[in-house]
Amino acid sequence: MTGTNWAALLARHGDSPAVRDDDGTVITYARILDLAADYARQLGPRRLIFLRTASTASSVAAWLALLASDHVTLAIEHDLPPDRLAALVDLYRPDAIIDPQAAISPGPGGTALHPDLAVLLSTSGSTGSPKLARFTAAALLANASAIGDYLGLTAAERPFLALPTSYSYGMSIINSHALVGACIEITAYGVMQAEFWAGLNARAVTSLAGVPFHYDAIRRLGMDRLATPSLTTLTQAGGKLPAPVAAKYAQWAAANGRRFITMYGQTEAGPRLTWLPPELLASHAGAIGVAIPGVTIDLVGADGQLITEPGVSGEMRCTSPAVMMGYAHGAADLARGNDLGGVLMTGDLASRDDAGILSITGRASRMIKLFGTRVNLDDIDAQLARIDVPGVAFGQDDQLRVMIEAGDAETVRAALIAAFSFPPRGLMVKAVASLPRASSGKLLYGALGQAWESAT
Amino acid sequence: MKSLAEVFAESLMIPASAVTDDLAYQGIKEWDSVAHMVLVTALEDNFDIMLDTDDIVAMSNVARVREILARYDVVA
Repeated sequence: MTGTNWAALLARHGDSPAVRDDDGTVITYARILDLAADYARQLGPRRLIFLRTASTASSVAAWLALLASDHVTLAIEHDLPPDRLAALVDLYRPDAIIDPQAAISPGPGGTALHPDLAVLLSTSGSTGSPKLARFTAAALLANASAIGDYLGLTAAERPFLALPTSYSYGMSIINSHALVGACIEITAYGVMQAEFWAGLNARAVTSLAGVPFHYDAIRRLGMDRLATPSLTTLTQAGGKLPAPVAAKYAQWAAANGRRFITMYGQTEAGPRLTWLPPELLASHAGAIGVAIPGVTIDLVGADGQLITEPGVSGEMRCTSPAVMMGYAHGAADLARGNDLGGVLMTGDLASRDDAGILSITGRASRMIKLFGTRVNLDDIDAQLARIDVPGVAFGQDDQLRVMIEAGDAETVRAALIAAFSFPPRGLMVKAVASLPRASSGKLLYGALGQAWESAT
Repeated sequence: MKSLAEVFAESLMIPASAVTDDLAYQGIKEWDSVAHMVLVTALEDNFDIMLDTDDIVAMSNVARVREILARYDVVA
């Protein structure tokens, strides 16, 4: 049974509250294990389940119950547009779909599952990417346990969770806190809403997790909003926090006796890979820090050689018990075993300083972050093809650019916003007479930036 | 100085015709937390005010924004 270890570990927490939501609904660990038994009865012995997640206690409970069962779960955000969901159902043929109200509906079924497979995560949830990362239950357990170690988590923690729970960062907060028997304080409100701040105070939360955008927004709203005495730890992942912002939080943490912890991870790594111990924050603002327990990070040069000298950039290669089994592009891949053997090329470039502290220096893959949301540019290109618009997606963090050769820029922008769930403000569309191409007709990716600047 | 509808339209990147009094935060995909930050800065620049943070988090729809701006002696 893939979920046996998770079930045994959650059982130790008995009637302690596992999760509380905005409505005040509380679900205990004991109840979650009852739910896991219910799922075994209702769904059969071992099934492929799509869980449509929301920021509610029942959704978190369903996630943990499935983790503690023998089923294979793909977490999908509840607001993913119906056509994207339908495409995933067609491609992977789940046996059942559980909606945010916990109602179970049957799926087409029939997909063969590898005996070690337990969890599937989308490589880009906001675009409903059909490319999934495959995980064993043991991998997620190893990562949750390492996070608990370096953060020093105990059952007394009450993390305030405003991140989507289908997102690997949100999921890792649930898993790591469930392991120690803490109560997850989940909220559907965001930092720009009065209800978020009322909840943060009233629920006496002990930690807050955010992406760089959240910490920028909180700084804008005034960091005195974080004065709640119970709140001792802030964690940040999901993209690079600009060094000046990190420095502000370093000052705030030092002045108020709190911890601000910047971290780095990747969905494919289950997800956490590095953290910056808080005592290094003041001297290394903006750095991603050191490998978490159990993880080894090597920097590999373009020539394939290991980089040992400080200040030289190379691609990060991670060795970790939490690395995914591999990708899946369709149902047949769910029968595959471990393709990676615990080693992952991250596609991110980094360097080490004299003290061995890692900093990100660039990215090698076609993946950008829009305000913390991971967007695969290939998915945008695929959607353009579906709506029959010749064009290409490119850009940088917080700036997704789409250049089209035919069609109306505003109409195409509206269509892309409707199709995906990334923050619309990060998307710009420009129409040009023709995309820069080589004489062979091949798109010149290197010339896109200049063509964009000269377009109106 | 731009009108309130123009500031909304530019900040949220939506047509000005879509800016109605009952347009609400999270009522459309375009008015999310990221756009809200842009909106706050645009309101402050356009009307030359400094919004109190309690007001920033209370700006839940267009009519409410207009009420809040009135407290800063802005007729929008």
